[in-house]
Amino acid sequence: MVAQPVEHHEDPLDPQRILRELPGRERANFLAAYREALDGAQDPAGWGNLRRVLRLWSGMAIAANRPGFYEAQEAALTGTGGGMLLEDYIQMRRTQA
Amino acid sequence: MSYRPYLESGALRQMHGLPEQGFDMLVTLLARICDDPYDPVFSAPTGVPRRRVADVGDFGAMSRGELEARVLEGDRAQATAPRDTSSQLRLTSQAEANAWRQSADAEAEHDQVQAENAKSLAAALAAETSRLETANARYEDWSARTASTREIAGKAKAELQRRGQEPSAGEAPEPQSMSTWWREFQAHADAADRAIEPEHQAAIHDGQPWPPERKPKAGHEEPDAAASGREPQLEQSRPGIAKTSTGPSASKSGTPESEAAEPVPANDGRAARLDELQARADEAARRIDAQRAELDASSEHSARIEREAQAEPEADRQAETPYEMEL
Repeated sequence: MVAQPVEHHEDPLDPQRILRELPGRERANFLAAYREALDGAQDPAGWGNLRRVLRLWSGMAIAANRPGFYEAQEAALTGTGGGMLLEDYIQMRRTQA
Repeated sequence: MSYRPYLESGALRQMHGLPEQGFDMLVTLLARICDDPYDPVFSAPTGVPRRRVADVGDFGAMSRGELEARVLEGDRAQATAPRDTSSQLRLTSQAEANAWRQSADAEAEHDQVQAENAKSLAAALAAETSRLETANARYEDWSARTASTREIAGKAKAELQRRGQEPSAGEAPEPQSMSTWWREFQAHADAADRAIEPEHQAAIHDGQPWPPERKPKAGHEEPDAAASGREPQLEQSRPGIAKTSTGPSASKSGTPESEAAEPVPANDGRAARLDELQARADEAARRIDAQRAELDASSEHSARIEREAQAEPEADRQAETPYEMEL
């Protein structure tokens, strides 16, 4: 009989993992949202919202760690980045199909 | 104010290679968010002004289970609602003021009996006013405390109805998380890139165009026709865009959103759901009628007090002591 190492999967909704992976500037925002959702989860009906908040911030941790995220955010907020309206993109995608 | 989705260059790069189904889902979600960017059902704040976050979830930001939880929260809040006594309070306060004035008038006319009667009435009305003020404060407090919960519950209920789903606990499938979806998508995209790389290199080597030109197969549906089948999803959920559209979809702008944006649900079960909905609506209507009748009776009672308090014929004043009898 051979002992196999147990494959360890990190829970994507683990708040400690999210906190660890988030850039420093996002942590206070996450903690505020997490604590608010946690308060709401004292009522069992708030459990779903707590999971939603963790899921959203889990995604945020991935997005915020991608190179150029903050530059893209700045460009989006100031309207200085290149891009196009979704309707134009759909039109373009349709003609290229 | 209306909003239109704008894709930054970084987002455009990620769009390349996105499967059709994923793209349609994304377009629908963006269109819904743009209907009301601050609607908590479809996006959530992040602490950074003007930056919100959404996930695909159950073909919308909130899964069915989450929407049902919000509806449940709203129902619970509604179940604890104190009685709204504001109209009674207004009438009773007015009646009290009239009684005090009547008492003062009677004293000025040296009519002690009438003055005492009016004073007794005013004192009784003052006690009632005080009781109603307390009840009204409770209602106002409840109303302010639960306003957000009830508003979100209303939106969640509307969204469930729009999806053709009725609130029922414990049936919702667990939504795929955004991170899982994203990782899978990245893995597929990387695999696709690796798979076509030899073809890419061969095309460069042979001087062929890249990407290769598309050659439609005979008998297949025209791309435009296929695309126009999806179009109403976007156009109908973005009235601002529909207004400026000059394409064929503009003529469909009168189509109700529920017809245009949603796939037709299966017939089985729908009739039962409609029956259940109807039954619940009937029950709600009966409850509202009963509450209204109770309120009307109460308002009529207060109004009668007010009318009687304002009645001034001298002979009646002497003969009646209606307020004490009423109270």
